[in-house]
Amino acid sequence: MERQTGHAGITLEPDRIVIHLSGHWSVHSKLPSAQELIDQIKAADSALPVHFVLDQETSYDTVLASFVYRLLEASEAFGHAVELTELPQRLLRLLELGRKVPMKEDAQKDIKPKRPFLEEVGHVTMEHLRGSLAIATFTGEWLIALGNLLIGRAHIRWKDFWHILRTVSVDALPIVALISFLVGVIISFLGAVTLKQFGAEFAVAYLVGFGILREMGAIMTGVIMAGRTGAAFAAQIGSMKVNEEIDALKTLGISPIEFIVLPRLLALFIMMPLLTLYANVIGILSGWVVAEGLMGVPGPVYFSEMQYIVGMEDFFLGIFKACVFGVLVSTAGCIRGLQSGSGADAVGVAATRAVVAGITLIVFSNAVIDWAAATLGI
Amino acid sequence: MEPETKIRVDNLTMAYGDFVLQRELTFDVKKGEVMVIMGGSGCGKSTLLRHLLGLLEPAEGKIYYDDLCFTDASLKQRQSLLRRCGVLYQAGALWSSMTVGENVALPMKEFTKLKDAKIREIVDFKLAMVGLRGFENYMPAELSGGMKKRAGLARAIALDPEILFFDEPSAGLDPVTSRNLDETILELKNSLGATIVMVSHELPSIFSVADRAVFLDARERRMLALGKPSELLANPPTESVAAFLTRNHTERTGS
Repeated sequence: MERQTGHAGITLEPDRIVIHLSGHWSVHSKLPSAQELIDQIKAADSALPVHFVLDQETSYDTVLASFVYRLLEASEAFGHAVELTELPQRLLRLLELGRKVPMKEDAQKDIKPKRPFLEEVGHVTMEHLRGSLAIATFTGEWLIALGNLLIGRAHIRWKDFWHILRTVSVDALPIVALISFLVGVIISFLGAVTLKQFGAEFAVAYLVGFGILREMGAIMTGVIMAGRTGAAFAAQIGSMKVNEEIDALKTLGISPIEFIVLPRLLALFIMMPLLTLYANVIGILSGWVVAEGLMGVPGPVYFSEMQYIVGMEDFFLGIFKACVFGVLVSTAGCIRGLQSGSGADAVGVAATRAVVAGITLIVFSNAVIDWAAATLGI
Repeated sequence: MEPETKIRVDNLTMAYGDFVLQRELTFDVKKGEVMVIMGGSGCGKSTLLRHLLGLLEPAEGKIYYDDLCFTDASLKQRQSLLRRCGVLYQAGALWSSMTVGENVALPMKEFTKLKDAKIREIVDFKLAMVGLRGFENYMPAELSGGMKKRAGLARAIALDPEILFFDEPSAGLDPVTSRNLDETILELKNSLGATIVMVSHELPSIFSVADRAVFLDARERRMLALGKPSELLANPPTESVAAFLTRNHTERTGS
């Protein structure tokens, strides 16, 4: 079906400028550009008044009003007087509605205000400094909250704590099992490919033992927790912030850090080592499955070799890392949630930032702990 | 001449599972009138609006738009009808990831072939119509509650709808802002010639904008009154209608 058309023409008469409007004006019509007419009005003598004339047969809705409105504003800006009396009442009413409330002077706003380069550098630096300060403040606050808890003065809802404890532990068991199983298999495969060349298949037990207990058990559990629990913490707390629940706690005189952050932090701090222990067991067993199946290393050899070379210090190093990761992941989740803006979008951003921060902190702190362990000869 | 019927609600029963919220509602909305759905909290006003918009399905009964049975209509027919309607939700329901201007522009971008410059021109005017000229680059989170509703209104009228639905437009607004919004609604009715269905329990709003009103009762779970608010106030058909209208009306006039 052919689209209907709205027409607009301009005539420069000796004593006035006439804008003729006709045709069909609706959002589904083909419509003329206002800019061409504005250019002609601009070029004309500003002493001439602008008259708007509407053909009687014209059908229209607010699209025509918005067109006239644009020309009207432009004409007035160029200093022309405007004559609207020849327009029908309904169109005038629409125009009046648009012109009733004057524009708020400071309303116009650029989406991205441009700053000079140096100012931008300074601005970004200050933002990061403020971010670091916020993290330091937050850490201080939860340490105080922890102190309050130890002396029995913290406002903490234990029902929440047990609920969170369950969601971060029991509910996470299947995914932790799956990932640790696969990591054990991968490390064992890696050993199978390389060690077979030297006839040292039995040494796969060392690789799996060291790999899982010292590094991968804790790291993979930490990464799963960052993606699963850290993001959930940020989204929960972000939504609470949007709903003014955090403000409601503050006005009641209850510290949101004690009420919201502390249970989450404690839950993850307690559960991360246990989940890592669980991941270690599964990783070592899955490594044995590949060692026995692919390289013919019997179970007793695999486990006695592992016992011979891998010590309790390796196990405890992994568990220590797990405790650190637990604190880091829950801190990242909670702080990103508390920093969340309002709106659905902001909650999503908070969750994403929590995961990114959680994983970055895990990798970074793992490197620091490994370096310290190597220095101390552990 | 009797104005033609735009919406007809025929023997509508609304229920959530086994719980019947309102039964056997029958009324019609004439073309170009402002019909207010009023009643106390929890009587099913907003639920009725959601039924009219097809967001909920009736337990019994039918809803007709012009000659189309909306309840039995296909998805395509419903969508095409809803494109001729505009809705202002309670809190504005602006899409939070878009600017105010983008919110208003979206219906035009989706359902018309207008060029971007033309859409911008129309968006400017629609925002001016609701008193938000120059706010097109703001994010919804940067607006106050009243401004969000105004922006929601600009989005609702983006396609010059034949029917406008308002869900408690004055809820949560101060009296002056609320009064201004009522005036804007009336002006829109006059200038756009749209039929308006408005859910409200704010008496000042009801008395100033409604041509007719239906009263839903939470206890009896049925419609107790239909008519002009001033006539209902003068001759209330039941005590609950009188209590609803008088208490608030007294408060309003300060007598």
